[in-house]
Amino acid sequence: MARWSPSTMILATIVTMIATVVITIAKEMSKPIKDVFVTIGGHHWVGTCIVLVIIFAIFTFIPEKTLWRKPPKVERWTWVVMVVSLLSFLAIFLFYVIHFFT
Amino acid sequence: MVHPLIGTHAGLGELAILAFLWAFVELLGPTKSRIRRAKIASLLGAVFFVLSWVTGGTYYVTQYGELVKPVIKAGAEAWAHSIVMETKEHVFLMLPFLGVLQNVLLRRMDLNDPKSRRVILILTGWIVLFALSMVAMGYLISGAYRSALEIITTGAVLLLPLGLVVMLGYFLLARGTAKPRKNVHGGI
Repeated sequence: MARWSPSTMILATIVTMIATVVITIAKEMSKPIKDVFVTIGGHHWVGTCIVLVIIFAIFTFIPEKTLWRKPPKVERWTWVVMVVSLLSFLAIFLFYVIHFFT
Repeated sequence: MVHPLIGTHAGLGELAILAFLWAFVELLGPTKSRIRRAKIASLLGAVFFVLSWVTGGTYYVTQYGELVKPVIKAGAEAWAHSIVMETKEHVFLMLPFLGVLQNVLLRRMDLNDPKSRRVILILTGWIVLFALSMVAMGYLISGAYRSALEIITTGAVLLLPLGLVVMLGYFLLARGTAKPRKNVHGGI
């Protein structure tokens, strides 16, 4: 089993959270895109789950040396994870609020 | 009757919150044994998040779409689905990954370094707060469903006597305006 490095795990988490926002909005705005996720998982939400797990796994298993010569400071980037998760939450929430009222 | 998957999903999610809260408390004053317990608690938390994901997803795909969503959308609080449930079903997806990340960082970072210790502690607390927002959203959705059901039930309960009153009123009105029958002997 690969030794998961903190920096690649942080990158995997950030990319997955951004992908969650992008996929969520794209699915709502475009039926063909939503149908792609239905095709993947039988239900658009299941398809989204599968894609996110794959994205997370891909980024997790990228060797640290492939990504950067000098790994970033894990403490600083953990803060970035929390900020990205909050902004992702707000982005999805605001999108659905606007979607509901328009 | 409430579907068992709903209770299982909520219960597992709350166990995950408790597990990460336990880890948070252990990390407040990390000794060797407390760090060991924090690792166990964090691992349990991540596992419970994944189980909550599976049970909640199963309920969502098999029951919610057909049975619950139309009722909420037809009720007075349609926003509970269109905003809250839509947000929850997508935002929740971030939690298991955050849980896995916290576990990896807890095992790979140097907890003797105060900066590392502080950021792990804050991340653990953040996961607890994030998950608590799921609980709040779940409450709003369940409340909206129950509220919509009460409107349906109340409506049915009110309609029956109302219907009887209308029928009685029609009957009385019809009797009152009916022309008096002539007596065969000429009187009224």
